Formats: sequence, structure tokens, C-alpha cells
Amino acid sequence: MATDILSLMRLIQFTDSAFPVGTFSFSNGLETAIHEKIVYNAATLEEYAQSISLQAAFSDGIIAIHAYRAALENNYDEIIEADHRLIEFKMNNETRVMQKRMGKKMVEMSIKIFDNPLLKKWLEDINNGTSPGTFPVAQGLIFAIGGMSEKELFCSHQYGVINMILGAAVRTMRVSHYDTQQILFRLSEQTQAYYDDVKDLSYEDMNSFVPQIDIISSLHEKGTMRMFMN
Amino acid sequence: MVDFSKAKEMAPFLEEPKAMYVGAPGKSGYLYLGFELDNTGKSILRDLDRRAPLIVQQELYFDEEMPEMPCVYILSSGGPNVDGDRYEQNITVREDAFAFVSTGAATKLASMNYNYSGLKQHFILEDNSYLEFLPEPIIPHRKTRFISETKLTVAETATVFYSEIFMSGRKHHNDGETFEFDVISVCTNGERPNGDRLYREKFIIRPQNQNPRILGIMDQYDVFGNVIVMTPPEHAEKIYEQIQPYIDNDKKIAVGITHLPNNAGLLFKVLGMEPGPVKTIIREFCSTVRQVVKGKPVPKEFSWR
Repeated sequence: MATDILSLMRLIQFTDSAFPVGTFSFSNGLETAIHEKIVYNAATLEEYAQSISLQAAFSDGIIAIHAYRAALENNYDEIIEADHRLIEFKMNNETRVMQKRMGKKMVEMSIKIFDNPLLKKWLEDINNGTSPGTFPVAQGLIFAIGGMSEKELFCSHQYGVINMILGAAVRTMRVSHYDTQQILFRLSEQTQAYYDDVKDLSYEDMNSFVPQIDIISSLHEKGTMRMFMN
Repeated sequence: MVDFSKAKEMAPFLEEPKAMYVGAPGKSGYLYLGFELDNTGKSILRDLDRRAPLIVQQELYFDEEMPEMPCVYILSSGGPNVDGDRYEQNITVREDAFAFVSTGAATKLASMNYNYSGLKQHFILEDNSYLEFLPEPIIPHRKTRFISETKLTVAETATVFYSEIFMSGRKHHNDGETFEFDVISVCTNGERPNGDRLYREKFIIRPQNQNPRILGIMDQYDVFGNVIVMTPPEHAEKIYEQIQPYIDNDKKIAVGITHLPNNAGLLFKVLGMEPGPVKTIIREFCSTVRQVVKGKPVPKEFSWR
């Protein structure tokens, strides 16, 4: 049981919003959605967070799982492939920037905490431009190296996505901590189904249909009103 | 070969139709269009190969702003796409050539009970070539299933304007019929002639699995327009600068633009309530692209279109 306890401690550490990868700098376009009066209360915030977590499960979630399995098999080429596949699939420029900044930060932080040759090699390849360095791939590698399970990885990924939006929400709109914690509690109930849906999917199966969020991101990208980087 | 066996989202719909079988004559459309410059420098439709129900007759030169540009309408003698239809459309625009391709009418996707309707497309744009592809909207009927897969192989110096418009259904049929289809799966991927992958966009809409009416997906909107512009970065920057994204809550129109991955070009999205305004916005965007790349605007649409 000692291993399970340690694994859970690692899960909490690498998922905690206090882990400094810059999550607080991003909102997935939330402040633009608020400005445009699309998100204006707890109910609309919940729908927004649900749409984001859905598209993330079928893209970032799939990539994180592939990177995790590649790391367990020590298949470095597959790790690089997963990284490129995600960038090719991320249609919004700001999302690509977010993925790369958070991914690189996650690896840099992790190397400071524990020495690992795979992470060092990947960071070198990020720095020399061979690999984009996306956040889901970083999560996959660190969870594999840290002895955490694939399900724990997927939970961390979904929790991080939802919490990023809710964390931005309490700083930008009239919504209480009670509201955001209720939303997180409810949206967590869909995570098992999402995992079952995506765990056997390939790169070709990645899909995303959130046109309204894509347009909101585009407004943020070209807009002058910016509180968050994305 | 029109093969969608790897598409897991179509796996529930593989029963052989009780009427005409999958791939039967008349249900297996094929089209190949090859545009090139002739020995006088005129852009012409050099190659045309077709199999029913897809029909292309000949190129016309009706664009008043670019009378030198061959314009082609793709027609279907079968009416709507029906259960078990498989279509393949391949368009090549050779070096320095240019063309405009559209469809004669909206593509209706009929209700299906056994199988699905599929479309594979491959567009090849050689050096300095230019293609505008602006088909009429796709209208999914209740219980339809549709999958499309489009590959755009585009030289670094070429430009392709590839647009699609999807209705949520037969909005004004009886009491209204929106998001009552079974599945629509659309994948578009871009690559260079040497095979380097650039981007892959795929969306699957399954209204029974996930309600598209929620905020972030379609919200209150009924029409979705998606435009991919693969063009050299210097053109992309000029186009990007001229387009201002917006959300107009009174007119219920939303427009967005971003850069495609790997310097492939631009992605432009429109949400609206009716196809007319969405078509107009996409045509205006095409005009911006044409002015940057060819120095000429797109003329006003014909009044009967």
C-alpha cells in the first residue's frame, strides 16, 4: 500500500494548481466570453467548462495517454510523434502557445525535482526545436516516470483543464467559490466516461468540435482586452 | 478507393442497404478535374473524368473580375446523398494555373436506415497555383450519417481557399429539424508535396451523444462555416491583418480567424442562423484572399444563387 500512497501524493503534487507551470496565466478565452456576455453566471460557466473539458479529452487526453504508454515502453520516437501530432491538431494559435509554454515549464520544473535522463533528453529536443514540448506529452512522461497510473494521468489532465477555467472565473466574474466547487464536483462525474471513450483511440481519432470557443479564442488573439495569455 | 473502415464513429452503421448495395453503379461517384495552363498561357480544364452521379460538363469563364479563370460547377444527378453512397473527388491545379469550383446546389444528405454516405477528396496544388473551392451548404436530414475526408497537398507557393458550410438540419421543414442526424464526421488535413504533415482538423457531431446546443459548441447558432486557406506566410499575414473577428449578438453572427499550425495558412470560422449571411461572409473573406494573392476582388454573387 505504501506505493499507492506515494503514487497518490505524486498525483496531488503534479496536479495541484500550486505546481508552477503557469496555469494561472491562461483562461481558455474565458475573459473574452465574459466580455461578450456569453458567460455571465454559474450555469453558463459550467457549460463553457464542459465544452472545454470535452474537446480536451478527445485531443490532449488521447495524446497524454499515448505519451505515457510510449514512455513506459521507452519508445522515444513515439513521444516525439505524439508531441507533433498534438501541435498539428491544435487549430488555434494561442492554444499552441499555451501548450508549449506549459509543457516546457512542466519539464523544467520536474528536472529540478528529480533527475531523469528521458526528461533531460526531451528538454534538449524542445530547446533545439526537434520537439514542440506540449503540456499533455509532459504530463504523460512525468506520470510514467513517477510511477503513477494511466487513469491517474487522465484524472490529472481533466482536473487541470477544468480547474484552469474555474480558477480564472473566480478572478474575472461574479461567481463564488461555492459555485466553482459545485461545478468541479459535477464535471468530475463525466471523467470516467471520457476515459472509457478515449483510452483506445488513435491519433487519427482525435476530434474537436467547439466552434464558438474557437471564435472566442480568435477574438482574444486579435483583441486588445487581455488579462490572460490565452 | 473510398474506404472509411478505420473511422470508428461509422462502425454502428455498416449494414448493407436493402435497396442498392454499397458501391452499386450510380451510388459510387467519381470525379477528377485537372486544371493547367495551355500553350497560350490560358488556364483551362485539361482533364475531366467522371462517373455518375457526379457530373461536370465543362469550364465556363463567367467571373467578371477574373474572366481568365475557369469556373466549374459540380452537379449530382442522384439528388441527395443516400444510404450507402460513396463519392471520390480529386482536383489538381498544375503549376501557375488557377480555377474556381463550386456546386450547383446545396448537398442534401437524406435520411438513412442501414449504412452511411461517404466522400473522399484530394486536392493537389502545384507551384504558384490557385484554387477557390466554395460549394453550396450541406443540409443533413433527420437520421442521416455522413463522413468526409479531405487531403490538401499544397506547394509552399500555392494558395487554396477551401470552404464548407454545414446546416444543423432542415431548419424550416415542418416544425423544424435541427441536430436530428445520427453523425457527421469531417476531417481535413494538409500536407506539402514531399509528404510533410502540416495540420489535421477533425470534428465529429453526434447529437445523441453530446448536445451541440451547449455554450462553446453551437449554442443558439444553426449554421457553421469553416474555411481553410493554405497560402504562403507573407500572404497569410496580409489577410490576417485585414480580418477582424467579431460576435454580433443582434444579427447572431460570429466570425473568427487564426493561423493554422506549421505556417500552413489561416483558419476562418463563421457561425450564423441562416446560410445566406454565412455564405456572404465567406465570399467576402474569399474576396480579401483573392485581392491579396491575385490583386482582384470576387464579384458579387449571382442573384439566383
